[in-house]
Amino acid sequence: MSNYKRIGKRAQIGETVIWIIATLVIVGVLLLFIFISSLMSKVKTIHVGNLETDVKVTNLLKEKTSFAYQLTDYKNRELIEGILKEDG
Amino acid sequence: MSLIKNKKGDKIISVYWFAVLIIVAGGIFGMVYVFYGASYDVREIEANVLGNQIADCVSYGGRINGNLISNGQAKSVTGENFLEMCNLNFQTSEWEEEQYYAEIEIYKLENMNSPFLEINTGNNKWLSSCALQTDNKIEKLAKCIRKSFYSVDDSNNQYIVKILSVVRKTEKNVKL
Repeated sequence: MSNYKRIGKRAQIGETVIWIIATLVIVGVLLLFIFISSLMSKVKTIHVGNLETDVKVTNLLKEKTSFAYQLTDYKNRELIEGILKEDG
Repeated sequence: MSLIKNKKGDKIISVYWFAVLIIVAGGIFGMVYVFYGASYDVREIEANVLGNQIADCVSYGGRINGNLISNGQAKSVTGENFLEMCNLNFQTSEWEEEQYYAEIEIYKLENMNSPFLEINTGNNKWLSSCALQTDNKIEKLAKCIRKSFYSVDDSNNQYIVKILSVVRKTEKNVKL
């Protein structure tokens, strides 16, 4: 009879330990996910290159430069392109 | 006797399940709050838009604005005049301090060392951020965008236009 009691207690302890470990795993996984979402939230910067528009994206500044070239018959084009390239 | 014991165990288990449910719900709430609580940083786009607006005002269709340079002569334009001319307003009611700064330098092609016409407007306090941002991106500092293009005046004199647009607005775009 006492052996049965001892086995029963052991089983109860074992089950309790499993539940505690399971709880810790659940909390751990949740904390991991919260950490990942906090990392993902830091990358919420919208860059111009990432924007998608229906309208064909044209470079405004290139357009302006091109118009000016046409007005001066492409005079000093290489020099100008060199300066603009330097400025990025 | 054993039946009574089982009922107690069931009660404990159901309370435990409720606790787990609350923990999981709290976790999901935390994840959503952390992700959607962070604001979108749109300052780079705003600085780009400001730069484009200034570029459109300085030169249109390849020709420099006649109110800035005419017949090879630079006109005296102050920062305030420039803002009015370009329909820009740097003062908003949301902010005590101006959150924008713009610098326009127009160089003659023959002399790229010193600007032929220089216009500064806005809060020049944010200018120091630009020097720091070149090395590495620091989110809390103002965003700076530099643009340059080629243009001619009404006498076909050639110029290089350099525009620097700066937007701060850190509190509304970055989680502090």
